[in-house]
Amino acid sequence: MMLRGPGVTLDLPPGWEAEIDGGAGDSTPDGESVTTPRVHIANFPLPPVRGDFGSGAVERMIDGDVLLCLLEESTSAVGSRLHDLAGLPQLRADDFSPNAMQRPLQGQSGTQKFFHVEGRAFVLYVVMGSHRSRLALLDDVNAVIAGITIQRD
Amino acid sequence: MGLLVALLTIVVGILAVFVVGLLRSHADILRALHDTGVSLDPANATARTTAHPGDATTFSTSAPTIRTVEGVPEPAGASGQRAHDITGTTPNGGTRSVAVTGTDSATLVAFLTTGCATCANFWHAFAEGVQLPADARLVIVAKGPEAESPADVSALAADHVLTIQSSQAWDDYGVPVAPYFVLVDGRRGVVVGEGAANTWESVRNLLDRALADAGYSGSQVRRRDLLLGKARTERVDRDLRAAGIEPGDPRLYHAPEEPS
Repeated sequence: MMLRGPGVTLDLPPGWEAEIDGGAGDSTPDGESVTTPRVHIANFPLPPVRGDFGSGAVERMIDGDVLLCLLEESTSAVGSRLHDLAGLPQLRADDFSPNAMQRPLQGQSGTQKFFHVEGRAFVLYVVMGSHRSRLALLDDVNAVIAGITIQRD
Repeated sequence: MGLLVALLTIVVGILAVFVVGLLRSHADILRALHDTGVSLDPANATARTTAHPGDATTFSTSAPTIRTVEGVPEPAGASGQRAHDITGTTPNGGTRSVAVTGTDSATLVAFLTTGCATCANFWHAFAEGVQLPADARLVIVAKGPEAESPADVSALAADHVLTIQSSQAWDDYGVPVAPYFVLVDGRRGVVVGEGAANTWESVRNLLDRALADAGYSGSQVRRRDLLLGKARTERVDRDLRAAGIEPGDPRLYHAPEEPS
């Protein structure tokens, strides 16, 4: 299933769903609020209301569930050391840690990757419903990431 | 004698008028039932009838009959029509895809418009919250922004109910009227029930029967609910209610007794 949003295209495997909207807000140095694309991808039913980093959804996750949150950051982040990685990352099992969760939830683990693509800076936050199942789900997660295309603004 | 014969003739004439009136009334009723898709012909008991496009067919019994209009696929219970995942826009301007196939749950897709009076009842009922059987998922689908104002959809859509605008979904499911409901068995990826209805009770009857046929029994506990403790919570609530303890009952909040 293909889903297109502003500058982002997703090619999703069967059973996965996603939403692309302008949820992630950022502030410029002069205090102006800027809205940038927010992408949520999941292999379980995404609730209609969610926080940028998946609050509202992660509480519903069980073993076998995966949530990916792709958030664009301000263009000033491009060129920073934090976003030095070029291109969408591929994940490894040892990337995931319960300590990397935005808010620790029992049994779950997460990882966060910062990178830049096409002159745009992003953070990818991935949550596993069960830390123990991360190895079995890793190929699926990397396939979903490989299906993300980011175009230049 | 002549007077008696005349009297009887008049009585028979009046009775004949009554009988003719009754027969005409009966014929009118049969014709009206036929027009709404109900056949009372015993020889045609299993045959599907068709309604005219634009007619709002209704479920009038507790065991609803799923009817389709000409050009609309038969319910999957008979035909196994493949379901389609849904892609569209959200009222807040985002783009959204919903996987109704390849999942372990059933999805009720409610096709509503912002203009029809019957749809307004459903928009309101869904915003208030309805109890879905077997934890089926609800997705409201309005036509795309080219046909329905996103502002109008946004005004009716509740934040907590997944609402999408997608004319493609209306085409994919061959929706003939609004409101129209399609129930998808996510495991098999097929439509297991579809039809038009005027009230939530009618839709609920359709759901219960179609879900039972699809193997989503009411006593079945889904793995997701089990792991999230939902089934246990519901069981505890039920047991407490049976014991006469409702939410807010002071007995729920007393201090634990010291062991003697």
